[in-house]
Amino acid sequence: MGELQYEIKNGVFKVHINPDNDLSDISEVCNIVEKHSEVVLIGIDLYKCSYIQSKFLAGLIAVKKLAMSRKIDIELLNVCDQIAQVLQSTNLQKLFVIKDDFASYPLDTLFEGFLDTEKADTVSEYLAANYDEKIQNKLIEIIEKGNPLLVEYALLTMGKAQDHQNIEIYRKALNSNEANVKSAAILVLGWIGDTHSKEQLYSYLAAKEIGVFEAVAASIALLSDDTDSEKLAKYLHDKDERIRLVAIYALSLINDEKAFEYLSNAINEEKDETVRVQLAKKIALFKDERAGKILLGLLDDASIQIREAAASGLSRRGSGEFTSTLVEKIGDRDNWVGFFAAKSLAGIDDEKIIKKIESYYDKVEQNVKLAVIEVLGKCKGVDPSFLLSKLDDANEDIRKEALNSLNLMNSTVALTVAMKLYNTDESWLVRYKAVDIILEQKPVGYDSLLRGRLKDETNKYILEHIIGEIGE
Amino acid sequence: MLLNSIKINDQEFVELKDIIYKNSGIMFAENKKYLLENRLSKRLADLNFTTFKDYIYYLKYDIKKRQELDTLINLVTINETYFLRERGQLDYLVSNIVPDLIKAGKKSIKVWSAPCSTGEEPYSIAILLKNAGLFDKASIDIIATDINSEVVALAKKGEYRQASFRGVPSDFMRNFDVQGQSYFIKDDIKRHVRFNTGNITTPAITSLIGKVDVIFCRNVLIYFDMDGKQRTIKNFYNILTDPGYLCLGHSETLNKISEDFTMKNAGTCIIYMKKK
Repeated sequence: MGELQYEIKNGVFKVHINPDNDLSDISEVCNIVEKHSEVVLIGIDLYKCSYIQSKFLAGLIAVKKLAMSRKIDIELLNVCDQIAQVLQSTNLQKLFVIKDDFASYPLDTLFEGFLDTEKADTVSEYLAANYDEKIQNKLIEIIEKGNPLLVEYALLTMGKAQDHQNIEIYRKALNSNEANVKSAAILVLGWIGDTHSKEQLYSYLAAKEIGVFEAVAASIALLSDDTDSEKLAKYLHDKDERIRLVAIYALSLINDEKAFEYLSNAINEEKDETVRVQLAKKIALFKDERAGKILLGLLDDASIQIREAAASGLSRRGSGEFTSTLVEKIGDRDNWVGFFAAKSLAGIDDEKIIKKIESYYDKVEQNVKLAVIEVLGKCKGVDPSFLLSKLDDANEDIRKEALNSLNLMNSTVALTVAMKLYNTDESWLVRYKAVDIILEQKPVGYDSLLRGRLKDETNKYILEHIIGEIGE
Repeated sequence: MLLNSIKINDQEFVELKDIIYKNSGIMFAENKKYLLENRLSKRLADLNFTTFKDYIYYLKYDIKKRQELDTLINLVTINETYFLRERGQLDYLVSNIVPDLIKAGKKSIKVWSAPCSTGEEPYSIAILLKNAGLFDKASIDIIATDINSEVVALAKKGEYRQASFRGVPSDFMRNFDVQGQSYFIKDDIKRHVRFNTGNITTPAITSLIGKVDVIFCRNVLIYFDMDGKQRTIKNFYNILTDPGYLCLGHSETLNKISEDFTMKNAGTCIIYMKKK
């Protein structure tokens, strides 16, 4: 038995488990929770453990039960792969939220996280949020050592922490031969607003390395003033397609009136399909009303890619004044144009238009049918009978989507349907959605309803979903 | 790094991870949601989608769904690696396993690296075996497979950037030709490694590979569920000769997965040996 190390701060009860802690120590966790009514979250930190004994697992279950009875959240922190495997093999993984908590890591170990592509970003965010002189010095040391992978994340971390003090380090890194280091330096200089470096950034617009030109576009946009749209517009005529793409990206990020003018002119002049697709995508990001008209015009373009990009852009902007045209486009010969056109109609409350949308249902491909059902859930004044009739469809996605839309439209009706489908539908996708709705609304007796079918439920995702919420 | 990632909700996550699981054996745990978001957001944006649900429908209903499924699997199975990673087992292979097999009269030895990702592991093995002069003492075949067809193509090409070399000794670099910022593996190393596309969780892999003496399968079991782990280890057991050696990642274990192997502490590393 070891001494239990813990702290309680702002309702968070964090327990640091040592390998020599045993069942009696984990039982002590329950006693402490009983005594502290302010606890809303229990974090069990396993950073120091490379294995756990089966008795300890029993203790964890007891803590989980107590947490559930008191409606306290519980997280397992810093679970190593061996312990994760034990939790997996004993089916206990589904009971706990498992997370990393870098506060438990010694600083030197934490920096090694930069080498782990899965962790590097989160480690960097954590260090930036907790930035102090010690972290700063260590990052400078890493940069001086020169391992490009570590340097990249050291720079990004300093930039995220808005460390203006070391601007010369970032400027120097601009000249690195390593693309990832150069990209990081470019981004950081943009983040900290170093306008002195802007001219040098322009010289990298033609960079061939992946990531560099995107970073340049982002940073030029961040550092831009009234003159930059005009400057970038010249690159829209460059003979190199890649430079034209970077200029389009940068102008879309600047997103001012001048940038819009340049891009809307370019879509008429540009001949290359790839570049035109990007123009259509980026024009959709402008709030300018003229953008909608341009996209609408592109729905009749000869290129399928451009028509789809335009339809997708319109679906994000909403149909607005183009409703009637977009309704017609539901039946477009290209089913993805139809898909996006249908999705653009969310929020419509005109009964005639709704009927028109419904009328396309039987004439279109499966993906468009799904978009039609989805959008009906987001329209006002829709007769639920249309959606109810789709709950018997042979396609599981249609049934699932119909249930979802029904829930958006009338949650009471949807709950009744969900309770039935949870017990009867053969598709786990539909049952999963039904469980979602039941758990969202939590009607009286919902836990007995869900528990009642647990022994017959064969789908592991549904079991995890239910057990994670109500326990076994 | 630049693109804002598209968030995946719970239902989308289970649907997508089910599709990935059924097509690759890889199971994304709840705490790996961000990985799918990071690795797939650009693909979604390229296809004009703003939600994962739309992408799932594309995977199910588009005319090019089969092709897109391959793209999806390629995007989610990229695992970055580097030369001489977890070197202890590599050294043990060269200084103990292969010499022992030769001493025992083996004329032909087969080493399997799976998954091989972009080829750093099998080429590391080939370089160390060559430096130890072992290619002259037996016919040693290094087979490398990965489910991801794109990384296999890169591995075959044998072109690397500096990121693949993390703290390797300088004399290791003589096995590469440098051109600008690229490092090309030399042909006398390349010829010792055969690359193939294959899924280690399926029984079909055993006929693709044939019998092998040593398997390197490192840092991949963590991505499988218990069933996937057990199937994979069963495949390994069936494919290994006697004696047969299995090298897992340093944080991986066969505890609760299989009792068909004996764990051997080899000093700086752990090796699993097939039980007779």
